[in-house]
Amino acid sequence: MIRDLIIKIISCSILILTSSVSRATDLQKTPDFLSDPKAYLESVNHALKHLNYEGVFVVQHENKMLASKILHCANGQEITKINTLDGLPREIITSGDTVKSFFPAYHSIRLEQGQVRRLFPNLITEPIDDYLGNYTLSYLGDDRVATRSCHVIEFSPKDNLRYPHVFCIDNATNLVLRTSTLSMNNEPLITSFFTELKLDNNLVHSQLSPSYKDTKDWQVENVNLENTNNMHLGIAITQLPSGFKKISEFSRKSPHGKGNMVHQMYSDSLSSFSIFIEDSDPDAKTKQLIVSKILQNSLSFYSAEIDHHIVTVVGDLPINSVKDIVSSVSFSRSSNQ
Amino acid sequence: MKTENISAFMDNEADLQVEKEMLSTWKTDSSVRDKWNEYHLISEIIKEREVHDFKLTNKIFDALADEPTIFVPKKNQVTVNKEPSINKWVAIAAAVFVVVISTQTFKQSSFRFGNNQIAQSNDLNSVPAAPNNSIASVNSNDVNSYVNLHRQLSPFTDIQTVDYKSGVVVSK
Repeated sequence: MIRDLIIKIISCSILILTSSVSRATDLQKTPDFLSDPKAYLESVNHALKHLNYEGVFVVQHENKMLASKILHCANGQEITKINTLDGLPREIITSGDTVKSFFPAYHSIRLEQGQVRRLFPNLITEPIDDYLGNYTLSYLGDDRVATRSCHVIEFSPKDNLRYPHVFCIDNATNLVLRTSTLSMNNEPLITSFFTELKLDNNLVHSQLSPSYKDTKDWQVENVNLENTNNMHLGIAITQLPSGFKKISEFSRKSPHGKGNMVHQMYSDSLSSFSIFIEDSDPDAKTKQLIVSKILQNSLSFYSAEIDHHIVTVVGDLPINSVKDIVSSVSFSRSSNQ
Repeated sequence: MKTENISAFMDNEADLQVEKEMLSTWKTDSSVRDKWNEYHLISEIIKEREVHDFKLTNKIFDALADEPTIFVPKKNQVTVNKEPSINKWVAIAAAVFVVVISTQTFKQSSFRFGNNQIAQSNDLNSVPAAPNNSIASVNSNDVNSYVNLHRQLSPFTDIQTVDYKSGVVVSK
């Protein structure tokens, strides 16, 4: 009698489990527009490059928010102009791989060349295959941002070495309206979103010229970010997460004030990390401690002494990922000499 | 309460029983607290220290008296059923049933969570949980320097907020 009852309960449980799995599968059915993710992301990339728009967007992380005005003109040469609306004024004008930042409070201009910045909303860029190699796209539903309806698309990492991202993409134009980087617990770490957006085909380049005309007495800092070959040939990262590629390398002054260090930047198309390598102090009486920190706005920090070098990684990756990268660094003999 | 007990307690010379009694009486008997204050006042004067407010303790007690009392229900004690075990199989079946039901609920709620997430990130008042520092034995200025160097050059940084004053590229 009791045995029959038990068998009935277990059978009932299995039936419920089976039906729930099939129902969950139905709920997550891929919509038509996402049936070809590559084509969809190409259309998003096309919209970001070719639409003319102006608007206000906010970057939010933890309890901090910064609002900025943005103008994007794609008539002829693609130019973006961003002006901060909070705090100290700052104007940023980007065109191709050139970024010009004006700091009127300091009468200074920073001119960067050699690296394309992925500034909101321009976060889906070619090659599209890089996204699909590292993330799986899924449709979570529709939402509304800056009065516009949008599809909510989650970029779930194919491994546990990077954070998920959620994009809200305009139903009508495929423009990115909101992005969030999520923690492993699906909590937003950093979010950027439009609060106002106006598509304007009549936008002209003159509207994107610098607001500050009389800058002949301003200090200009030229920074060349062009990628170079390995200057520290003995470095090897054996557990580099898949899809990450080195995008730049520099020699910098060490924050400890003891000589220079190598700074390499790696990116997988949605996140990045820096690795800093410097010689450890041979006269130091104590060994460098292993230091591990989870910082604000999705950044993790890990530093350790490896083979007479201090290796430090900072990146918008989970702390375990950053730790694995540091632990997998090795040096050939030539670099130790 | 004997005055010598209060004095012994002050000098950390009271035995355990007296300490318990003292602390219990302290809560209810204001005369004990008055005595305590007087002894401390005398002690401070003898030591020629500046006396600020020897009635502070009483003020705290008065303030606490005005606080509302919050009743927290006690947890029920877990009773162990030592009956053997025809019911053991029923318990196993029930456990399987609960696991299945909770799995189903989790699947549905995790899907809904995706949609809730959308709403949450639209809510400007929502603040993500504070990050934890696992091991914090490094100079925070050094950490900030590395973070700034990373943010200056990361293609994904919101460069409106980058501090360019720290760190200088010395060569390509």
